Amino acid sequence: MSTASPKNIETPHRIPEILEAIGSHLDFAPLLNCSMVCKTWHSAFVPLLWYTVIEYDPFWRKLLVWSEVNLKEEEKHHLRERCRSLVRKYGHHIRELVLCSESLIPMFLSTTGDGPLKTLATTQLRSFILYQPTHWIGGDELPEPIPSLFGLYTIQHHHRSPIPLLDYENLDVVPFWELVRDNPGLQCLEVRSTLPCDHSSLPNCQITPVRTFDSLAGQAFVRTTLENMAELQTLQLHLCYDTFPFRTLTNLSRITEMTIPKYGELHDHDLDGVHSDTLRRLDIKAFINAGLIPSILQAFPNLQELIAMDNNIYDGSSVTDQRMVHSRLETIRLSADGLVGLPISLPSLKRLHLVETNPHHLDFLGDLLDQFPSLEHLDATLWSLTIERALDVTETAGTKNSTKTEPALTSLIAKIKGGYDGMSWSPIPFLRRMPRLTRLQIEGQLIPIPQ
Amino acid sequence: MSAHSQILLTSSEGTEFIIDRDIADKSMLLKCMLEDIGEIGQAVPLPNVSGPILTKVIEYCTHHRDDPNFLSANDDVAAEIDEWDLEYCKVDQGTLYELILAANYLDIKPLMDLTCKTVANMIKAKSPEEIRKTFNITNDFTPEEEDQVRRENGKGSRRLS
Repeated sequence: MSTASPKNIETPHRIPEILEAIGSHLDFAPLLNCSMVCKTWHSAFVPLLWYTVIEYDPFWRKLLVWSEVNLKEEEKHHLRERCRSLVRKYGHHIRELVLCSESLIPMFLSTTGDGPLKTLATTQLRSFILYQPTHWIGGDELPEPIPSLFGLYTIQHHHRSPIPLLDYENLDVVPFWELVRDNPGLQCLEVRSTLPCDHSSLPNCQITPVRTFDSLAGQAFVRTTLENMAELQTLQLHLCYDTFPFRTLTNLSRITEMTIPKYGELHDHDLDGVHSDTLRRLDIKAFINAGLIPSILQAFPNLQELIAMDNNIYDGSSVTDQRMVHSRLETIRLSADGLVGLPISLPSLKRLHLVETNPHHLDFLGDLLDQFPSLEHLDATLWSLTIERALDVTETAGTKNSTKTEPALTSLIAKIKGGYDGMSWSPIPFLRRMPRLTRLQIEGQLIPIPQ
Repeated sequence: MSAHSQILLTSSEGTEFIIDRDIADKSMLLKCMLEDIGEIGQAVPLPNVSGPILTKVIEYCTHHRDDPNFLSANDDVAAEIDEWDLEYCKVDQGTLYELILAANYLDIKPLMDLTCKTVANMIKAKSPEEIRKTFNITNDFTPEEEDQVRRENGKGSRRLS
């Protein structure tokens, strides 16, 4: 039948108009593929990409705007028009706004002009996610406070140069923090600007980490801003500070979850006068000596989860000499085995994750289970030596000391260091020592447990 | 003019088709033309549409003859294609192209949407190379250009994760 059609007719995949019609039925990912097919398709599909980067998800009531490339004025205009029509259409329903383009942020947030957010601000926007607000520098347009705003989040890409959210060079506060300051009713705040995350990208920006930490003015601003946020429940800071304002916690009467990084080591004096009854989860991204753990537990009596993923071997010195009991703590993630031997009792401890353990510790497993008999899940990197010793000890201890309370351990996941040969030992002695064990996984392999 | 008046169309090879006026009205091109010049009793020549394709188009318009949502039904991009339409689009690629061209030329938006959606579904899960194979397109990028495009897009696709 095609013989009947005129011969000079163009194939549809060469006509931009038709490609555009086809493209209007495609999502972002297939459009990307299409733009790589040939030159004609590239020029037809690339403009369409601008339109698909604006999405409204009616289920989550989320408006998403992203674009990686810096837009030309004309494209910005299209985008703005499109955003405005979406906001007009769904404005009252939008609960979440995601902006993923630095060049869009000023345009979107502008209240002096005709930014779409001006309409949104009066509605029920609950959460606001910004990609890379670091590049949003020097704008003098700031949005008005958004009374309904509940959470403010930032997402930072590591491959980008890690410019901090504070312009340390001029000791100016970047508009992002002013946005935080103007919305003190926030309940969730997440700020990502990991620094120094990737030294290879540092030459691109002139800020060196050392200089960055010198800015007391910037830190003071952040501290005051945070102290005024009485409603704050979740705080995740991925910024680095010289001294993290731990004392800020005392002012946050509702805080339950906190992630804080620190450059260098956490010291005992950082915790002076710090106390919070509400904190349930603490994630410290800093070097901590295991000897500090009692002080941390004392400061946060209701803590349920403690994460400190940096090096923390217990050196035997403890700040408090008397044995302390913390009955709330259920989960601990640590990098090393510093916990064993500390003068603490954790009767509720259920889950323990250890990234690194000490190969010189004789019968590490036995001592660990003796100290924390309530432990149910252990996920640890062990040495093959530890296992061999554990087996040796088991053979003798099993008969000698039968009065001991049996450990509650039900699941053991272990990575083995130092030459593990899966065939060289049998799990039976282990099972004798831990009768409740139902899951044993070694180097990713699930070991069947005989009844 | 009554709703049941009939229109004469001629396809590219000269075959004549007689259709009802309300079916011809599904095509914005014919509708506007008929409104502008009135029914003059002469055949309307359609030099861009072949006989078999015109038959297909008429089949589509006849099926959707009494569809009240004819013009608005396909506004919803995410809507599923209904069964009859799905069956209707099960034709070879050449015919599908000619249908797109005819729908575009005759300005029948729902048919345009339907056929384009069908092509879009063919493209959806394919890599650029597979798309080229399917549509018999030659890659006219130089290696440098291709690298450039890939680099640009690499950034874009990371956004997705």
